[in-house]
Amino acid sequence: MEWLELVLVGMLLPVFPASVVFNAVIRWTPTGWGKAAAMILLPEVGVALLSSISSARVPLVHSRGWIVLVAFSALLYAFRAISVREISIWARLMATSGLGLVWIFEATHRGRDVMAVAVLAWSVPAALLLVLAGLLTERSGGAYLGLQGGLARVVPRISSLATLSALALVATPLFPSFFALLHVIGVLRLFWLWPLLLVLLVWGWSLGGFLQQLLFGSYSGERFPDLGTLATSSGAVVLSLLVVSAVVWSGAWIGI
Amino acid sequence: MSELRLHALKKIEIVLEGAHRDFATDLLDRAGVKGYTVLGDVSGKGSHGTYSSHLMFNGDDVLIMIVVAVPEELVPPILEGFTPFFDKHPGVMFFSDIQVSRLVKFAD
Amino acid sequence: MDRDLTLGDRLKVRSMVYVASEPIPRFWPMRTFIHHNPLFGLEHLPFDRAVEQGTALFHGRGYLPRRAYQRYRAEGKVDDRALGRYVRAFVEREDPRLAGIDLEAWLWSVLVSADREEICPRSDWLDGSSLRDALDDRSPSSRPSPTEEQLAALLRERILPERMSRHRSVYSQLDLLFGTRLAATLDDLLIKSCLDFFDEGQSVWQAPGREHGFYRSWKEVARRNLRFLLHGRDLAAVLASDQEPEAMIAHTLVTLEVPESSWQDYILHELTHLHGWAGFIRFRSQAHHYYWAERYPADLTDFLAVRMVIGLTLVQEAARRHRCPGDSDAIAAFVAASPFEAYLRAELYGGSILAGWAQRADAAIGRSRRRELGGLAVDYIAAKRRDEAMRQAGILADLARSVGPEAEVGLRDLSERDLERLVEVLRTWESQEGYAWLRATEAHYIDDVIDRVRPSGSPRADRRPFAQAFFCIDVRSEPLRRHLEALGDYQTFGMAGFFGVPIGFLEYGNGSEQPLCPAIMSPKSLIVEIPADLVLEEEPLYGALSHVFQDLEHSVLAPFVAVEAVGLLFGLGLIGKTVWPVRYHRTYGRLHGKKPLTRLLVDKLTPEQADSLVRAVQRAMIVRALRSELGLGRHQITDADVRELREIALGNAAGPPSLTVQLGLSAEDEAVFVEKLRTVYRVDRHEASLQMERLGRLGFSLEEQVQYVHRALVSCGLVRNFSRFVLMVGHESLSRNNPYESALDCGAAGGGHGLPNARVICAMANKAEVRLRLRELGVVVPDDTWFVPGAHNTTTDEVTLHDLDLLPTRHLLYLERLQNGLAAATKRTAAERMATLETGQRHDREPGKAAAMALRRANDWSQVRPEWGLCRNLYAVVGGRHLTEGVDLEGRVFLLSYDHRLDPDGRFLENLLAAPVVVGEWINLEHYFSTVDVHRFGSGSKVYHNVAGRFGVMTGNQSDLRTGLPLQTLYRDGQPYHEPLRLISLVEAPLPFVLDVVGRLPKVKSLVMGGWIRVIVLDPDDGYKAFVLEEGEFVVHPRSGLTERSTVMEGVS
Repeated sequence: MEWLELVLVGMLLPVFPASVVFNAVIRWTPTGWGKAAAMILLPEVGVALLSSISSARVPLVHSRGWIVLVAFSALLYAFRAISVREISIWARLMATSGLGLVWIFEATHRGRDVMAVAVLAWSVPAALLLVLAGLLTERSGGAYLGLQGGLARVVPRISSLATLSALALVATPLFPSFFALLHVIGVLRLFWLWPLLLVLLVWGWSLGGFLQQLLFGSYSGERFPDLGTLATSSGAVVLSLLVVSAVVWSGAWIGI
Repeated sequence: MSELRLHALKKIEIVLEGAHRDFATDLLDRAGVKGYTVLGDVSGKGSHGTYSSHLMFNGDDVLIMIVVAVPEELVPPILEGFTPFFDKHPGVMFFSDIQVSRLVKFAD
Repeated sequence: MDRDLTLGDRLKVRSMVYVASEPIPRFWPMRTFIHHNPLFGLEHLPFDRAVEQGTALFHGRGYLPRRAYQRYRAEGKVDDRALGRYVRAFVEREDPRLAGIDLEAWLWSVLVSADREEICPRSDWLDGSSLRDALDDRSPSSRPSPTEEQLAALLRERILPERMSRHRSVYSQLDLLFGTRLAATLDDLLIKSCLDFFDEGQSVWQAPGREHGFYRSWKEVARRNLRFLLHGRDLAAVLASDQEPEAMIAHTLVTLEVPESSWQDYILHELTHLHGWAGFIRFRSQAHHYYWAERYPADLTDFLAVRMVIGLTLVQEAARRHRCPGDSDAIAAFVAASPFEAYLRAELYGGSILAGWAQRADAAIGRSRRRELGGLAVDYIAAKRRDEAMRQAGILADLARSVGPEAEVGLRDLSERDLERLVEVLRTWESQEGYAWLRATEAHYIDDVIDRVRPSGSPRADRRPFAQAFFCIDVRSEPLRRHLEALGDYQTFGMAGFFGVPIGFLEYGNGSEQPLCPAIMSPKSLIVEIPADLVLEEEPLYGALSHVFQDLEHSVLAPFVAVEAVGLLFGLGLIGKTVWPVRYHRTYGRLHGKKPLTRLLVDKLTPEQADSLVRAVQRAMIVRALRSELGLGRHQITDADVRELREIALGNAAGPPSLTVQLGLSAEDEAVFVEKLRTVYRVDRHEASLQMERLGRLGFSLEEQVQYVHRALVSCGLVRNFSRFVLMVGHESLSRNNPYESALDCGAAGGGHGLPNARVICAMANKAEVRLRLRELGVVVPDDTWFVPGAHNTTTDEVTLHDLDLLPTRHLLYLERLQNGLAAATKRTAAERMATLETGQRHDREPGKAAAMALRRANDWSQVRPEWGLCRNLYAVVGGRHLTEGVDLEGRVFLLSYDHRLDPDGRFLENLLAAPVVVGEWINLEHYFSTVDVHRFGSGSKVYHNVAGRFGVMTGNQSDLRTGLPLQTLYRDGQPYHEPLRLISLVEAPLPFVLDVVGRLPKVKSLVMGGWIRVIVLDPDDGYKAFVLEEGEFVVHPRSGLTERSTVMEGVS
């Protein structure tokens, strides 16, 4: 019974192989806004469901094997994201990679409320990217990067928001994912530094490819309109809230 | 007087624009000719127009003629070698039969 | 395949490479930057055809985008009537007979109000019916899917074309079909190999084995190169066959199944891909006396062979790894077998796919199920057709709206066939539009120049001017000349900056000879600079220390050791250069010691002088040999011994020298010593004659000197009324940290400074014997005339006079007035220039401050634009100064002084047209093409430039060698500052005379007739009527023939 619940949670707070369902749900949700909503809600539901399962009944989750599975899941999705050029797919895969790491808090008995907040570190930037992908598709037909050159000069606002969100996804300092990753490293033994650094490396590699396709090159396609001021400022507000909360939250961990 | 022995060779006369002099001499060197003579300040008329021979500053826009004597077996390669060049440039190549007395200067 | 190439095949391949390389412009090392026409290899064609071919070959654009020309039109720089004429001519020529469409009005609307870059973008499936549907807002009628033949035809066009186009090489076809990155990897590996081989002293560690030539040394290194090893056994297999480069080229082409009839085109495309490097190698292999080429030979056949080998390896590797076809036939078979899949692939990897379909196509190709791909492709084609039709319909509707209501009605009523015809006509027009705009803009400027350049009404009083000055024809001389003449009694002339004297210059302290003449000539004479007092100076301490520091900079281990110890000193330099540039460089110069006073050896050595010089060198060599081989000091040898040894070594005497008897050397040792004297110390007859020959190059004979001076004076028209001072002012520039600094120097002096030429001609003209001979030739130079060399620094506008210690005493009284005049002209010119450079600063208009600002700009190492250089050049005037005196031509004109009355047989005009005007054309076209496409023909932004091997720049850490001029030289605030127009040359001479001279110069004639220069002839014998060369004919300009200069037009830009 607990296994079933565990699998259900695995679908919502993605860990391989149940993460397939999470990805499928997001893929088949129609609009960018819908995908974003799913991206934020599903992991939270998963965390809530997890708290209903008492920890004593699922020892697997606290074993070292589980941590290995989580690390493997994170690496797998990060690798898959390297060759992806569609913004929404990239965001989805990177978020899956990062959300998986949140399981480590459970595995080391850190408490479910930490998890509920840590999950946002990845789901919010990914949701932002999904929204931007949707807007881009509306305006230019698709969000596939690198077809006709970089978008930096054509739609600077969308490009800057997308860049910042992508940075937020890959544990760039001052964004919450960085502190979450730091915390993850903190709660594990030193030995686990190596696989997590590997995850970070692959994230960086994937980010590099993403930004290169997004920003650089001279654009040769049709022009299309950029975001309006309201939309840009709301995006900027969301990102700055992320930064502020990260700084505050991380302080809370280390006791400041 | 000792008897003069004459040996048969082929003479190739190449008339081309002065700008391509180095190319032509290089190609002949690679073909294995032992030597050649370059005559400058050549003027003439062809399908591309008339050329006068005097120009104070410019050595490129005049015509030159390269004369070289080769053994018969070198003629087809040299002809083949210059074909792509003369497909695109003004100039001519003349082949004739000649005789020379000092064969060692022209062939192995 | 036949691995053993016959000799004929080898020669043929080499010949093909040579012919293919001709359109590629040569790239001179940037140490002596030569402005040249990027389409030099296509100059035999008329301008518009050459631009068409050149832009296809080099993938650039040949004209500005329409928006730029519309801006010029808004600023009043375009002649509307001319533009209308070209439109009308086009309509008459094409005559599409479209009912209800006023084509002229449509085209005019395109010209003046279209804001799209392309009004007929490239489309695959556009046809009349889909356009009609889109225009009528109908959903497209269900169409039959395209037949396989239609698709095959389209694919042949895109992937396997027969004409010149992008996708020719096998690996770029593979990139297009399979998304591999073969072309980029190939370029990367090839550029790295080139950087290693062609380095000219920039790297500390040099590549081994370079003396054997590019291909052979590359092969040796490639066998051991880790990066190549990653590409596996393929490379080793290819390299294992020890072949000549021609054989490797042929082998690769055969392996890739390229038909032999296409080899020439294929090779052309391979070479133009990296045209910067190819151009440099081409220059290098054809240059005479280029040190690096002599030591490390390389030519384009080697380059192509290396490229082919790497390309073949990558293709074979891709074939193995991705299971894609490995040669040209296999690709064609693949495309023929599954055309829908091929089309989808080409769309996706070529970047032209509709954005919304990209992910779907990507996923489907990944799954590679043929039927699924086929179905997807059919749906995609339908969507693309709809999209293209809607886009084109939107454009046509907007266009019709801007023309007027009748046009909208006409459009609505057009049949499907006529719609197609309309789009076709518009597309044809677009391809020719740039040329029409160009001619219309030039027409405006031709009108302008004819209005302003006229003989001034009143003849100038025949008073003796205070000073006469010869400046270079460079456009930057014009403002200085104008301000100088306005200040007082100065008369100026324009002459090519080498003053007609081509020299090879051996500067004091410099080991190698620098040619100071236009790039099309090679100097026969050598001029040596020697210090006037011949005292060996002690190198100041700081100079010695700086040598040590420089060596430290280049040592590999140095950074680790030296940073703590010495780093602070470098830091001082860094701060000094940045914060106080002028003061820093002045102090630096003082610490390094001033250059001593020097003289130039201008006179030829007599044979006796040369002989005694050679003897002295031989004697010194023998003494040195005796010391190092036999250990004998100078005091142990007598002069007689040395003389004897010398005679023996030269083969004039035989038998053992008395010295050996004295020392008790065996006969063998003596023979060895004499042999050493001949080979190592070069005391040899053959060497002696070579040295005599080389010394024969030094200087000029009296006759030559007279000729040069006579030619200079007569061709500029100065034969009487000489003033006290005749200045010969060469020009140079000053900038720090600028790879393009040579581009700002004198082009007529081959990218160097014109000062040595000025000093030479002044030395010649000041000689009494020369003046005597000039008198016999009819040019009487008064005794109190003195020729003074000067240097005009175009970055700071300073004019410094040189060789003042040779000035006769009487002239010293007037020197101060001269120098004050020059200083005042400097300040005014600087004020004029600073206004254009530093917009927005108020005190730049005040002359004193402007000059200081110019000085600071010149010394600032962060300045990307120390001066505008030859930017905005437009006109060339060959004639007297009376035509342009007082006219503000804004520094846009090459002024050549010429008086046709002194040139009865046209020799001087011949020289002017064959050399300076051709150089002006090169400069003009270099600026033209670098402006219209600054990223392809130009070199992009200076900010990303990195110096490569000390001869060129690349963008980023590795790229093709950048040719052309950078963005900062030509653009201001993102808009072109240079106006890309062809050189408009005015010649003041009778028309039949000019035609006769041009007829004698085939190169100039083809340039003029091909439209590479615009020519206007002002005929003084015919009332100064202006004859403009238009479409091969001389037409009298309507505004010509007035003898009064129209004062209304003066001062209007």
